[in-house]
Amino acid sequence: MEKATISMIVRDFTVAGLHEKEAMVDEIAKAVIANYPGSSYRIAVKEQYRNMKEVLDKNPEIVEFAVEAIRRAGMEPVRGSIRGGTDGSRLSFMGLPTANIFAGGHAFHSPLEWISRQDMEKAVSTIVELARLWEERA
Amino acid sequence: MTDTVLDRFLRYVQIDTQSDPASPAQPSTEKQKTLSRLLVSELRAIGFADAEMDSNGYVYATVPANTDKDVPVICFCSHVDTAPDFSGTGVKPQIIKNYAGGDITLVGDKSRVIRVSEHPELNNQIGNDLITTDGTTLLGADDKAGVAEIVTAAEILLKDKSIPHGAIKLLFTPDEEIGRGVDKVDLKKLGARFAYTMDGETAGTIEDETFSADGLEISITGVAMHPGFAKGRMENAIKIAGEIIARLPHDVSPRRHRRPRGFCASRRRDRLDGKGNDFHDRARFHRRWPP
Repeated sequence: MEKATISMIVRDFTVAGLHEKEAMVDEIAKAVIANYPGSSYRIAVKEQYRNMKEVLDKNPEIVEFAVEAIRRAGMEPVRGSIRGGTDGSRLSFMGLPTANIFAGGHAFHSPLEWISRQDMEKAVSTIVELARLWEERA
Repeated sequence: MTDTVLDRFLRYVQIDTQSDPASPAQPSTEKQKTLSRLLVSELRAIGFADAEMDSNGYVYATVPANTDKDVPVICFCSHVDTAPDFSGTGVKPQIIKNYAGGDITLVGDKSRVIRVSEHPELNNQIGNDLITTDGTTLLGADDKAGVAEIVTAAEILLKDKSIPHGAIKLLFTPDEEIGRGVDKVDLKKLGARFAYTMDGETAGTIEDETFSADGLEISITGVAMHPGFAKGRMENAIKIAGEIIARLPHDVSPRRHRRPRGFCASRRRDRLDGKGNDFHDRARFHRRWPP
């Protein structure tokens, strides 16, 4: 049992926070390996994805208009953050700044998943209002 | 008569579009194209002349501008696949009209109950029409709700001349659930300046922030030794790996914080080396987060 590898995911809302956690993992590995004089370790870091806020903040109207469209569709807008990657984040870094709007579903990926007709209709109204807003403000 | 968003949703969820992370194909499962093809034919029937599915299984369509203003082209995007986590075969959507409140027992598997205590958002749905599964599959609201909403809104924008708008692009992608949703997207062809995915949860939410993430791989080289001579000399790499994992502080692991602090989660991959017993163990400590 000469070799082992540990694969980890490190996540944080800021890049500084990521580096802090990576340094912490390195400290831990170093401290453990100190008790095993014949052994060694190596840490490789691979970038997975980055907070899309970095991109979206350069075009604040994307979120501003969405907030206004949600309001016009009769809801109180709630700003949120996603724990995990999303296509919007990848698209944002590929050059297409993309925010994520509700679709109305709950308990995703499970047999308990549910949605209401009314919330889907609100999403439809939000899209229509958003299209109208981009024209209005152009 | 035009289809409502509910009509569309019920039609789409009954088409199995589960993606498969183990498949190298593009898209990962051929069956996703069944829905993508249906979308193209529905979009054409509505009047979107340029609706098409490309060879990678992406559906593109345009709602032409009906204004003279120079409006940035925006795109609405959702994904056709459902998560590999739970079966998407034979989805039998159940409609609860005028929901009166209370827990919901699913008819096809009475052990499955959507409890108000675990789904407090149900408290905001009194009087609404709910759609659930029969308990034997997932529903696929993620993200066929988004698909149904975009198609329905696009039809309104195309036909209702009283709503001025710029050009709107529609994009339906495969394989989002396995992290390959935008691998083959053709942004040039799409030609949009900004986009919105319709893939969030609770009504009213807009999300513009995600984690940043890095993959970390720690490779440990220990000292291998025949057990007969090992005393005091063998250094088991797996034991070292175990010690490292055990020392990761619990207060930065994902279960402790909902937001907005980050976390570290380890996924284990041990390689046992020597005497011909060579194998990989891909058990993951935290299989998926968020769940």
